[in-house]
Amino acid sequence: MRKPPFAWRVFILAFVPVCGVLVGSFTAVRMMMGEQVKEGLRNSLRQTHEFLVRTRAAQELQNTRILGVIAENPALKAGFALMRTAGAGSEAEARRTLEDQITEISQSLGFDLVLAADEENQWIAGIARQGQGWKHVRLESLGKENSGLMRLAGRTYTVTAIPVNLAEENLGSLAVGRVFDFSEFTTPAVLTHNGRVVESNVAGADKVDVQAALAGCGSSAECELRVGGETYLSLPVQKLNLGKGYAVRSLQSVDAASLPMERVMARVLRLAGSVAVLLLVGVSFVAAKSVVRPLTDLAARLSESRSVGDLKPVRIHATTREVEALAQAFNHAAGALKDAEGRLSAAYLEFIQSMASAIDARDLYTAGHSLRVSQYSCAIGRVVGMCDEELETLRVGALLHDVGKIGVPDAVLQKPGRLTEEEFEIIKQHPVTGRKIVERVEGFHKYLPIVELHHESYDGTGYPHGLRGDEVPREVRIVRVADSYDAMTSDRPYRKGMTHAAAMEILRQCSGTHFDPELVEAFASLGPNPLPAASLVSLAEAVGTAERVTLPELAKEWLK
Amino acid sequence: MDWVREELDRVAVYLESKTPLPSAAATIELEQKNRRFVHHTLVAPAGSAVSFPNRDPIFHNVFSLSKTKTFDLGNYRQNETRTVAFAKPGIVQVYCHLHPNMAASIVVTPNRWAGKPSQAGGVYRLADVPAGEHTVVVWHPSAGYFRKKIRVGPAPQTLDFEIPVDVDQP
Repeated sequence: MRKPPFAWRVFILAFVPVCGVLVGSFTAVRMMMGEQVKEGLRNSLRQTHEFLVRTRAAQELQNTRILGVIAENPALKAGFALMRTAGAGSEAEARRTLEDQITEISQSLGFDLVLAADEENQWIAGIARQGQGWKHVRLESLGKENSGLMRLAGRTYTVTAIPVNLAEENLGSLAVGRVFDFSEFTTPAVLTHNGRVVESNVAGADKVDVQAALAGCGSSAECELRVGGETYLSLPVQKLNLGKGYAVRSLQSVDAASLPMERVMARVLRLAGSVAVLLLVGVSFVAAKSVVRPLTDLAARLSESRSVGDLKPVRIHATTREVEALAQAFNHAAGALKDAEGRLSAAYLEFIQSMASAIDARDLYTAGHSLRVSQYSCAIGRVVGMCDEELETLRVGALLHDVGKIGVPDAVLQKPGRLTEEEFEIIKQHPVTGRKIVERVEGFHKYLPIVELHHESYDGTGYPHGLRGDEVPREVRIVRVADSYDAMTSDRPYRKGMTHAAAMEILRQCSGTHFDPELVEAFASLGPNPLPAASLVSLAEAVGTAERVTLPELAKEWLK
Repeated sequence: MDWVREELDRVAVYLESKTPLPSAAATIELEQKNRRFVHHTLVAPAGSAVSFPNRDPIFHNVFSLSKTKTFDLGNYRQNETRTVAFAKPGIVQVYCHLHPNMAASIVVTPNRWAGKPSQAGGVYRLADVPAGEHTVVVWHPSAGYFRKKIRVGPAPQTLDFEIPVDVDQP
C-alpha cells in the first residue's frame, strides 16, 4: 500500500481539531441557547403558576363571599334543621327538600356542584349540574375533603366550603364547586390525583399517553417529557392548595419555543458553518502545503540530483528550523559525496591522461596527437552546438581514440615510410583492440563509439565495420575530421606537416566521402587557427624539421 | 293577559257592616304544589279552618307571623296536611320556612259574604245581602283596601273598583 503523503497528515491534523472546535462551539452555543429557552419557559411557567394561584385565590374569595350570603339564608338553615329532625323513613324526602333548596339557590349563581354536610362533616345532600338541569349526587361516592379539588363522576371540581350556623349552633357546612376547567388554561396542563392523571389538556395526547410520559418525572421536580410527538418542559404548580393528593403541572412546549432559535441556528450553521469549513479547508490546505513545501522541494531536488547523478548543494529558502537543518544535513552529505566524487574523477582523469600519454609515448613524433585531436574535436563540437556533457564525452573519447594502438607492435607503429599490406592490416586492428580495452573499464562505455569507429567513413568505405553516414554517431564523425586534420598538419620524421590551407583543401575534397560535410564546414569556420595558440602542443614542431611528404602520398596513407 | 288573571287571583272581595252578619265556618284547603301555594289569596270567613296539604315530594313548613294569626305548622311530608282555624277576621300572610318564594294571603272575612272575582271579567256577585247600609271592601296585597258604601235594597246593584297595580308588563 502506498503511504499517504505528509501533506495529508498535516491537513488532517490542522483540519480535524479546528473542525472539532467549530462543531464543539456550535454545540455549546446551541446548548446554551437551549438552556436560555428553557429558562424562558421556566419563567413563563412560573408566571402561569402565579396567575393560577391568584385566579384560584380570587375565585376562592368570591366563592366564600357568595357562600357567606347563602349560609345566612334562613330557608337553607331551615333545610339543614329539617335534615337533623327528619326521622328515619323521611330522610330521603328531607334530603330532596334540601337538594331542592340548594338547586333553587344555585340556579343563578354559576356553581356546578353544591354539597351540604352535617355538623359531623357527613355529606347529607348534594347536587351537580348536568346539562341544563341538576342531578342528585350519590353521596357515597364523595370523599371526606370538603375543599380543594374533588372528583365526581369523571369530573373535577374546585370546591369551597363554609359552615352554616344557626345562632351559635353549627348546623353543618355548605360547599360549592365549579368544574375545574382546563379549557380556560392558555397553556397545557395536567392534573394528577395521587400520581394518576385525571385531567389533561395536552394537545394530541390522551390521559394514558400523558400518564406514561409523566412516569419518568419526579413528584415535584422540573421535568421534561415527550407527549404526542412534542417535548414539553413541565413544572408543578406550587402554593396552589388543591387538597390532598392533587397536583397540577403546567407544561410548555420546548419544541415550539426553540423552533425559532433552531431555525436561526440552522441558518447560522448553514451559513457560518459552511463558510468556516470552506475557509478551514482552504487554510488547512495552504498550511499543509506551506509546511510540506520545503520538504517536497528538498525531495524533488534530491530525486533530481539522483537522476542526474550530480549532488549539488540544495538552496532552500527554509522557513522552519527543522527543514533548514534537514537541508543543511543534506548539503553536508552532498558536499562529502561531491568531494569523494571529485577525488574519484581526478583519479579517473589522471588515468585517462596517462593512457593517452602511453599511446603518444609509443611514437615520440606523434606525441600530443591525442591531446590535439581532443582539442580540435571540442572546437568542432562547440561550433555545432554540443552541450557540456556531450563535449566532455567528446573530449575524453578523443583523448582515448587511439588507445588500441597499444596492441600495435613498435616495429609497425614506429616504422618510417610506407607500410606493407600486412602491416597496414595490423594497424587497422587498433579500433577493435581499443574497444576491447575500453569496454573493460567501468564507466568508459560512452567512449566506445569514438574508440571503435573513428576510422569509419561517411560513405561507408572505412573500417572496421564499413558503417555509413548517421550510422556513425556525430561525435565519432567529429573525431574523424579532427584526427585526419591533425595527422595531415603534424610533422613526421620523414615529412613536414601540411599547411592549414592544404589540409583544409583535402578535407573539402573528401567531404561527403570520408567526412561529414557539415562537420568539415564547421571545422572550416574556425579559421586558419582552429585552436588558440597557447593550447597548441605540437611535439613535432618542438623537435624541429621534418621530411616533407607529398600531399597525395600522405592522403593515401591516411585515407586507407 | 295572564297578569290580569294573576292579579285577580290576589284580590279578595267582602262585605263590612256595622251590624254583625252571620259567618259560615268551613274547612278550606290551600294546597302547596310545585313549591307554591296554589292560590295567592284565600278567602276564609271567620271561624273557618284552613288545611295546608303538601302535594310536593319534599317537605314544607307553613307558618305565619301575622298579628291576626301566628302559627308555625312545622315540617311535614308529601300528602300530609296541617290545619289552622282562623277565628279573628283580618289578613294573614302565610309563608314556608323552607321556601322563601312561597307566600299566600288568607283573608279572614267577618261574615260569609266574601269571595274572589271571577278570573274572566273580574266579577264577583254578592248574593242575598241583607238590606241596609254596608261597605264593600276590595283588597289587594300590594294595592291595599278599597272601600265603597252601599245601601242594599231589593234591586241588584253594581259597583266598579279600579285597583292600580305595578306589573312588569311583558
